[in-house]
Amino acid sequence: MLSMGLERVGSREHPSWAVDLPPALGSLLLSLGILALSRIPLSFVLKKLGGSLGFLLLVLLIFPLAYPGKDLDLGFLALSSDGILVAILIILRAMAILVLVFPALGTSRFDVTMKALRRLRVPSPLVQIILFTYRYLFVYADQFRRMGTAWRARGFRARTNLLTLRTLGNGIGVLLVSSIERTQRIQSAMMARGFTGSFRTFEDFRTRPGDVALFCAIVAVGALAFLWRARIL
Amino acid sequence: MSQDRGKGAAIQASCLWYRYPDGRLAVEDVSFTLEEGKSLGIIGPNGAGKTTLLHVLAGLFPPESGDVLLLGKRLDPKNHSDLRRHLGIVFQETEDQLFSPTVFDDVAFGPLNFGVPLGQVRGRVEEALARVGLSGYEPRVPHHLSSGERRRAALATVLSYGPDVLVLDEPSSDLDPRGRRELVQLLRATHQARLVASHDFEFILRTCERVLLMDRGRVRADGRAAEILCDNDLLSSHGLEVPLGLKGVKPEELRKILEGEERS
Repeated sequence: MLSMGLERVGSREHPSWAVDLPPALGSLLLSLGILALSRIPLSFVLKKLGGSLGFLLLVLLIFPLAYPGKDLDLGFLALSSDGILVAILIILRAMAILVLVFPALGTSRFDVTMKALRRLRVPSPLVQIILFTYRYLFVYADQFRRMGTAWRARGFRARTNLLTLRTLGNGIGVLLVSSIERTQRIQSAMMARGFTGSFRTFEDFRTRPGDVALFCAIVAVGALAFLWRARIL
Repeated sequence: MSQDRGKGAAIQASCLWYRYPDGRLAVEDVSFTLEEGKSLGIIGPNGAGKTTLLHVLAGLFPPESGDVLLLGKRLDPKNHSDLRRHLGIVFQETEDQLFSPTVFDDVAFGPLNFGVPLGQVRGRVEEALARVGLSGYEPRVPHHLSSGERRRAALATVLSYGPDVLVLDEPSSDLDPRGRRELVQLLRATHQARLVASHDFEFILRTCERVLLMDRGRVRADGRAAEILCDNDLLSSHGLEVPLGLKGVKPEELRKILEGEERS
């Protein structure tokens, strides 16, 4: 995201508030509009975005100080107005992308999203890796939580010392080894049910008129935004 | 399937030997026959080789020597994929059996791989889930099921493609008394030959006519379930115990009790 922001702005000598800000702001508004349509509560989105917002605020701190051309002299500090604009653009664009993740993943079941990806010709091994990761992430999280409970039951307290590091290292090592063994058992279970290397799935997607209308609307808005950005309209 | 054929051997194991990759011998010279429609329990102390034997019979571990005949056909790497549709193995650890994002996908996995026409897959899944009492569980995430529900869903994953032989490894673990009783009823109602490895002797008594006792990779006894499971001297010589509820019960009395249970 950082490189994207820099690249877009770096194509001219100086970024411009009048030229660069409206499209970035428009992108964020468009994303928020799609988020509103998806009816995902804003409070939930803000809670999940908390970590990313913290990281993006760092951009706002660094860019005005690090960007070339210190034209804003505050007496004790010189800032770059271009750096401030670039930081704002990066934050707006990043937020626009991050906000879009919620309607993309939060409006249908995870397995349905993955099947849709497969229908959109995303390579099957990649989709399967995501599916297996999602399926077993909870199993290993549970296993690690149980391990932590067992540690605490025997007096373990996490501190900044070698014993804590060794205990955590051993725990992660045990998880890794058990995950390899589990992989072999899962492979056996798959082979026992006829798996020979290629995945067969049951997908009963049906395109409804509403889906076509929504797809056309999103493409149209994107095309209009592109044409406006290219100064054709 | 097996209902359409004359009675023959569902599984015939001859002089099976299996060694782990680290060189330890796990199965030594095991031979037995399981007839179609019949049931056989495998008991033995921990590390006796029960689970390993089931993996060898399912063609998942290649034997060092010996043969497995499944419905009269010799199991070898060339015909594994053809013969596997006749055998449904349910593993001890349900998290390994249920690897898909939804119960539907897991139960549909076997039928899809064994070439069941797409139009029949949904019906097969619904029927298998109904048999194990999980109708309506299709969209559920396996990880969110209770351990008893996972156990039943794991059984549905093999019932959905209609194998001729069911191989179950510790099927009653994680089940509460009611779930265990329902599983007994379900297994008694199946027409398939079944092989059940378990430490739960009462479950074995209620689901299997015959028992193999294994210890240190070898078959140490083979006979009627009621006789072997009431033989305290035999069991204790292999580190096993007659369950408290069966102590002092004679095999003949036990058979009558079980026959009465089955009739009711």
